[in-house]
Amino acid sequence: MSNFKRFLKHEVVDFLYHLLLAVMSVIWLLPVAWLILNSLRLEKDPYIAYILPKTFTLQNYVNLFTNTRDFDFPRWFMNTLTVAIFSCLISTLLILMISYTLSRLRFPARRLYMNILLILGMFPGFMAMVAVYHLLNLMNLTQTLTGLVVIYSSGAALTYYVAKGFFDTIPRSLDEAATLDGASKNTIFWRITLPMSRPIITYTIILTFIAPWVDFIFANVIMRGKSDKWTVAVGLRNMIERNNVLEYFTQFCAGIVVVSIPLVILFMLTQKNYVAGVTSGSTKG
Amino acid sequence: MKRTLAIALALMLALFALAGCGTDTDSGSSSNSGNSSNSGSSTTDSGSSTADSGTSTDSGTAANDGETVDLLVWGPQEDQEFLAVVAERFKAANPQNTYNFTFGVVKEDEVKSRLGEDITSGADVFRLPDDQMRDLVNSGSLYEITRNADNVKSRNAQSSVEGAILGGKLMGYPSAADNGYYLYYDKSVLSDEDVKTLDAILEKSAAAGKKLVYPITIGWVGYSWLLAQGTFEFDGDGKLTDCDFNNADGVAAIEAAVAMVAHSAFLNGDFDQVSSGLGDTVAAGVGGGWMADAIQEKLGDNYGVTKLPTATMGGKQVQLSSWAGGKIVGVNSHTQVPVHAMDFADFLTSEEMQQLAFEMRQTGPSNINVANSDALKGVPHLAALAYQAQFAQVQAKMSDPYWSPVEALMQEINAGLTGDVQSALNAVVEQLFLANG
Repeated sequence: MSNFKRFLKHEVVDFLYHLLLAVMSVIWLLPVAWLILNSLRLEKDPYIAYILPKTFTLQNYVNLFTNTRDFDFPRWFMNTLTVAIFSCLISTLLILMISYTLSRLRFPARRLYMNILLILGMFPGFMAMVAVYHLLNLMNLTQTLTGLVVIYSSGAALTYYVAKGFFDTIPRSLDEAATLDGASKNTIFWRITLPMSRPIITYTIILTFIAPWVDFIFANVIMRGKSDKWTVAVGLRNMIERNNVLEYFTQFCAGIVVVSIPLVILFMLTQKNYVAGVTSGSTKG
Repeated sequence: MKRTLAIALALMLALFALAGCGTDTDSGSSSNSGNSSNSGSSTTDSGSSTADSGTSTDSGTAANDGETVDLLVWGPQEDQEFLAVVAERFKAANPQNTYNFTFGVVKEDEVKSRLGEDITSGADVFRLPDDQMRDLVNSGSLYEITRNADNVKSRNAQSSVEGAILGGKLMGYPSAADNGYYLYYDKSVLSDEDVKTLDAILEKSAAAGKKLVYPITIGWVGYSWLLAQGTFEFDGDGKLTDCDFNNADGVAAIEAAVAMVAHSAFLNGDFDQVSSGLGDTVAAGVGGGWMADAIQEKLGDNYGVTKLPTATMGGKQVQLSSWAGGKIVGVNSHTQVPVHAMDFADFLTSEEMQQLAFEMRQTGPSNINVANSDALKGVPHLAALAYQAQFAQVQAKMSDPYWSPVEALMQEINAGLTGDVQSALNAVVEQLFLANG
C-alpha cells in the first residue's frame, strides 16, 4: 500500500513537473510559431486578429530573394555573413589568446589589468558610439564592412573571463611537462591547450558569430544611408517603416526566419560542446 | 611571451593595413572619402561657413563647364528608383558637366539625426519633412537657397513656400505637399452624405455596430479640434505669437470632443487600427496617405475618402481642421559643390519632376500646375488631401515641444475629462507659450 502511495506521489509530482515544463515551452515557442505562421501568410495586412493564416504561401520567401529592387535582402544577408565570419575568426582568436595569457603567464599588474578589463566590459558599448564613429571616420572605415568587423572584434578582449576560467581548470602539470620537453609558451598554447579546449572554443565562436546578426545600433550608425552595405538588422528594420509596413510585413517575418537559419545550424552543430563550454568555464573563476 | 605578443600585434597591424587598402579601392564613392578627409577640420570650417560659402558660390558660377561633380543624395528606400530616373534626366539636361551620383537610403524624418551625427559625411542633397526645417536651420545644417529662388517661390503653392522660408530666407526647395490627415470610410456603411457631419458618422456607425477611429491622443490629430476655430500663429522665426485656444470657441470645441469620446461608436486607436479595421469592425477612420493603397485594396468598390467631417460646437456645425505639411529638398551647408547641389535640388523639385513623382510614387505635389492637373484629382486620397488643405494650418514651423501639451489634454479627454474645461485649456495655452523658446 505504502509502495503504491509512494508510486502515486512520484507520478503526481512527475506529472506536475511535466505540466509546468509544457506550459513554459508553449509560452516560449509561441512567438516563434507566430513568426513562422506570419511569414507563410498571403494576406499582407500586418495587424490581424487571428493566428492561422487564411491562405498559406511561400511567396514571401521567394519575394525576399527575387524582388530586390527596393529591399536587397540577399545582399544584406551576404554582408552580415561576411562580417560575422571575419569578426568571429578575429575575436575568437583574440579572446582565446588573451584568456590564455591571463591564465598562464605571470607579469606585473596582471590583476590590475584583469580588473580594468572587467570594469570596462561593464559599460555598454554603444555609449561610446559617437566617438567610435568619428575614430572610424578618421581611418576612412565608415560605411565599410571592414569598419563593422573592427567594431565587433575590438571589444573581444573584454569578454575573456569565461575562457580564462576554462583554461584555469586545465592542469598546470601538463604545461610543465611540455616545458620540460622543450616547448615554449607559444607551442603549449597551440599544441597542448587549444586541442583540449574544444568546448570553450565552440562557446566563443557561437557568441562572436551571433553578435553581427543581432546588432542594430552600430550597424545603423556606421552604414548610415549606404544601403548596399547594410546588415540584415538595419535592412529589415527599414522594411517595417510606416510607409512600407502595410506592404512588406509578411516579407519582413520571412526575413527574420531566414536570418535565424545560419544561427540555428551553427547551434545544432555545436550544441553538445556549447553546453559543456558554459558549465566547465564557470566552475572556477 | 614577447614574441607571441609581437606576432599577434604584427598580424593585427597587417590586417588593418590591408583592410584600409581594400576599402579605399572598392568604396568607389569618391564624394564620401572627399568629405571624410575634410572632417578633421570641420570645426574650423563651420566657424567661417558664411565666408566659405560665398567663395565657393563664386568659383562655382565662374567655372561651371567641364567639371566632374560628385553628388550624394539621400532619399527613402521607396524613392530610390524615382531618384535614379531624376538623376539620369539631370545628366541629360546638363551635358556640359560630368555628374557622379551616389544614393543613400535615409528616410526623410531620419535626416535630422543623421546630419546631427556627422554633417560632413551627410548627403549634399536630401529631402526632409518641413516641420524639421527649423531645427536644421538652427543647427546650421542647411544652405541658404540662392539659385533660382524667385522661380521657386512662384511655381509652388503659397503654403509650401511659406514652409520653406525661415527668418525671411529661403532655406529649401518645396518638393511635396503630401502630409496631412483626412477621413477614410466604408461606403457600404456610410453614404457620401453621412460623412459630412461627425454626428451622422457616429450614429450610422453605431447602428451598424461599427466604430469610428479618431486617434485624438496623437497630438498631431488632437490639434484638429483646437485649430477648428482657434488661432495659432508663428512669427518668421517660428516663435508662437498668437494662440487663443482658451476662448469660448475653444471650450465649445473641447466639449464637442468630450461628447464624441462619450459616444459608443467612438474608438481612440492608432492609425494601424484604421488600416486594419476598415471593412471589418471600423466604418470610418482618420488617417493619411501612407495607408491609402492598403485601404483601397481592402475595401475595393466601397473605398471612400474625403475631408474631415464637421462637428457640432456650441450648437453650430464647424469644420474640423488639420495640418498641412510637406517635404522640402534641402542642401547641406557643408557641401563641397553648393552650386551643383542647388541645381540638382531645383531640378528635382521642378514641375516636370513633381509630375514624375506623382506618376511613379503618387506623391502629392507642391507645384501649382501639377496640383491642379486632372490626373491628380482622379486619385481619391490626394483629392481628399487637397480638399482638407483648405481647412488646414501650415505645419512647417511647428516643433516638438508644441505637441505634448495638446497630447496631454487629449489623453485627459479620452480618459473622461473630470475637471473644468476652461482651466484645462488655460493650462494648455500657458504651456504652449512656455514651449516657445
